[in-house]
Amino acid sequence: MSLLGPLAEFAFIRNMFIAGLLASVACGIIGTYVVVKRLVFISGGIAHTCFGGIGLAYLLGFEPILGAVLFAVGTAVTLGITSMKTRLREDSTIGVLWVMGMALGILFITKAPGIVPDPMTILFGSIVLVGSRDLLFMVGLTIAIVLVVVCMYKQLLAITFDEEFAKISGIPTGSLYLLLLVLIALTVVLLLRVVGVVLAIALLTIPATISGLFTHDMKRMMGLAVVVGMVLVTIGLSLSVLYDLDPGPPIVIVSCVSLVLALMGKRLWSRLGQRGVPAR
Amino acid sequence: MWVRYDHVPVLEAINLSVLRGDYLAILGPNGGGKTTLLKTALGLVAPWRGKVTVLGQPPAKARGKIGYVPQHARYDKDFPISVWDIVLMGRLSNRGGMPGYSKEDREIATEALRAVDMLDYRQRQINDLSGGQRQRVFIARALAVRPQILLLDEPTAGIDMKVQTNLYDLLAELNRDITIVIVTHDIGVVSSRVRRVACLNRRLIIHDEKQLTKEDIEETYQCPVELIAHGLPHRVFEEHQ
Repeated sequence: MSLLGPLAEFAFIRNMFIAGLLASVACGIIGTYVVVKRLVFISGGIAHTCFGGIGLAYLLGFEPILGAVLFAVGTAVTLGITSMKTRLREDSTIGVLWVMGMALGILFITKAPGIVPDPMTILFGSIVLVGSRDLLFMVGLTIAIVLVVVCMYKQLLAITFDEEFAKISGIPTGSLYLLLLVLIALTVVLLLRVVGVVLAIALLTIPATISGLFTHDMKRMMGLAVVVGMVLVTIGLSLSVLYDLDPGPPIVIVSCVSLVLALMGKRLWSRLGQRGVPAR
Repeated sequence: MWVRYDHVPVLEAINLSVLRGDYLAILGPNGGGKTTLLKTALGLVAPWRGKVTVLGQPPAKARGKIGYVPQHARYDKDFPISVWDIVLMGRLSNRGGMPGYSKEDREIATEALRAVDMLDYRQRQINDLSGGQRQRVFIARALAVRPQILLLDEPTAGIDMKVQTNLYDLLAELNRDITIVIVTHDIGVVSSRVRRVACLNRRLIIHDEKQLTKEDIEETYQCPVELIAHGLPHRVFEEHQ
């Protein structure tokens, strides 16, 4: 790292933090849907197939992030359609695509020509250089995700809460479910830079889960999850800079510890609250 | 009209007309096809043979005119949603794909909540309510559609007798403007307010004038039943001949 010189190093750390904070926005919003609609496993599947896409990109020599987008969105659409049109059990399909993505990823990377990164860094995130072009791409994607959710808020709320009623109300529930899965796929792609394939699921679920402990309003849950995500990412990234670690593991460990603390805090709070109520 | 799931007949030879202003209760055991029958009227289940029309149209076209109150057991009780947001959902189809709800939508939702006497609870989370209150919220959502027909699936399941009576009073009041069809497996709950009763266990037997005989019920439930009924107003059937 010292080879880069202090200025470049500063720019790169700054970009890392910007990327992390940006990812937290989409994470909090889409993560809330993932948590309340119980889509954690499907999100895990989508994240892992990205590995195959990144591998393909290295094999054929195009931008890895495009490979990730291709595979993530492809998986989301495939899963959505098979669960609606066939009688295959959804979680079995997820499992199949999950391992397929991983296997293809390893295969492609071993056969890729030229300089390829260590698969570990793709899986668990790495201190890769986040260039300003990457940041621009992330900003664009985040804006797109936020806009779609703002415009489709009531429809997405309806299909996550009561799909049948949404259908009776004349809402194209099938297409909306696909849209939700695609939004999850794009959010996962945003996270790859920060925490890698395997750990992306942590940022998609933990901030929203923590936030869900403290509010029963979907919009507030999203807002709080964004803030929680930003705090967790900031602490995690600071630790990774301070102790010269890859960013994924410290972010995930900080998140898990925070979730446990939040659960304990909530218990304590409600106990104290009960003690405050006079006995009848 | 016939319905099959995977070649297994669920509904057979159903011939039912519900007239404007009717208040029909359909009784039958669990698995007797009651929910399926409602779903055919909503266009969620297509008949295998025969035809369903709602207000002279195919069911999918008449959706905006039907209010549906599903079985409440289906909901995720931890879902972060307020009473207000649920009732607004009744206005989903109103503005096409436009985001948000209009002022009129909010007024209609307010009115619907007032009709079921739940306006004061609009900021509450659905989880904070009792079973009876929750059921009222879902009735309000169905009313917010501004329906001509109201379909209710087991509206009294898990609700105590007193609250059930309130619910039936509410339905009787709504019946002044709206056609109501209610299905339930609980023969004890049919209120004297209901205009007509039908029994459903794959096949449908209609009883005009609320006359229900022990034989009809035994036929429907496929086992001997002992009918226990109090006098008015919880009368289930007239004297046997």
